[in-house]
Amino acid sequence: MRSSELLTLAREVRRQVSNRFTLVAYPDHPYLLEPPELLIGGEGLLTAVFVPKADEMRRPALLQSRLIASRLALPIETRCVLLRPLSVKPQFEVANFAEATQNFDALIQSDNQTRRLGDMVQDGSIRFRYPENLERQRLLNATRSALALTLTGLGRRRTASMPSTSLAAVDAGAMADAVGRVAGQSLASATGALPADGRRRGSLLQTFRRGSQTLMSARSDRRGRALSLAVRASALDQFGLDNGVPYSRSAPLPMVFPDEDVTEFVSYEKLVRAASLVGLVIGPAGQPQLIESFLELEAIARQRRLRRTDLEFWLGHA
Amino acid sequence: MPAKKAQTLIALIRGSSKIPSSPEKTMIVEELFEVSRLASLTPLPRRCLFQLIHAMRAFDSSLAAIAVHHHISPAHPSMGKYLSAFRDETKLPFTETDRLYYQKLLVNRRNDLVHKAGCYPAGRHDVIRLIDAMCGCISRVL
Repeated sequence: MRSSELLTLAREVRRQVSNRFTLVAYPDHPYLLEPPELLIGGEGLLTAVFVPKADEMRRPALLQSRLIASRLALPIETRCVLLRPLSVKPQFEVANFAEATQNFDALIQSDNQTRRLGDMVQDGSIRFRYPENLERQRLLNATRSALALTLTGLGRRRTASMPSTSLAAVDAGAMADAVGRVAGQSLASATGALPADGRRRGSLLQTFRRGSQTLMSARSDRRGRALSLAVRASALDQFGLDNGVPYSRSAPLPMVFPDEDVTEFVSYEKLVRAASLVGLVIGPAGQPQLIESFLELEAIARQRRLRRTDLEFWLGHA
Repeated sequence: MPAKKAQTLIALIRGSSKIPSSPEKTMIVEELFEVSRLASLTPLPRRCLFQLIHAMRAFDSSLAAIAVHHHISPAHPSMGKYLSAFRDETKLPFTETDRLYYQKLLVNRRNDLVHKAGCYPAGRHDVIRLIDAMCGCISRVL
């Protein structure tokens, strides 16, 4: 659905619902890089509306990754609704639609979308069916998120404490080579959503497997595209969806190592929050020599609370 | 951008059952609407300060209303006390790391802006960053 079509739909739905509801097209949520297309809240009811994008039509796993992040970030009682695009292609309908829809709380077909959505938004009888399960999973995930946020902060502190002369951007290939050396092997595509170009030089994101841990190297740019892709891929790699509830796999935290410092990027803090939500750690940027010691720090943090000596060692490590 | 963030926060608050319909909820939403209404106020430093003050009042009152839902009543209510209480609430995915993160992002900056003469937001990006942090904090406890 084109942006103009969605905005028209939003205007029509807004006219239909009571003025005690607020409708936001393309909401700006601090934990979501890929939010639902519409967020509608009022009278204690919150509805997130997803309209599959072109790439999600081709690969429904991408829609799942968006849903996973939204279930983790939005309030538990949020109703996630899938709106069938008007120009849906037959192969999406036949092969993927059923599987993609079972994790949503409602589906709106193509006829009378405005009226049906308007009614649904105000209908308190439509509820997410497994709030207790979701609450439990969110609590379990909170520990992983906290660890990811802490480690990302430590990675940033380490690079911030280094002399500026040692912060020159490294070649993207050199970063990928360093991560690949530590991992020992390359990973072509673990989830179907990860880029399938293995270790090809110049690609945005390269992924490797080190035992049960996923490591990535990212080529930085001012829009943060590679890191956004890493967040999206990690949501799929780290979670399974069952009846709309994301279940975290108990693997070590995935990590991404950018080739260049991107903390000046305008939405960097949002990127860090979104990454932590799916347990992704952003390692020290542009410092291939620090990868191994950072992995050691992560292994320690997974086993026990970090001590002052661990932090001093990490932050003072030459 | 500040307006879009405020709108998102309004949708979250209006759609939350943890903040029941009440005159107080209406006032929270009104404070956030002010952020959008001030979009063309000049000069810019005044606009940024007013936008942040309205957003902060909404934020403080939202925390208080969510605390009531969880039967939390700190002896001396303050933003820091609420954050600590949310950390101790076992049903919320709000960890000590979250508390430290939001304490650092919001509490100190808020105190400077509200209490220090001559202190203004550093610009539009500062307003965006702080409203984003308020929205992030609230969405962890809603």
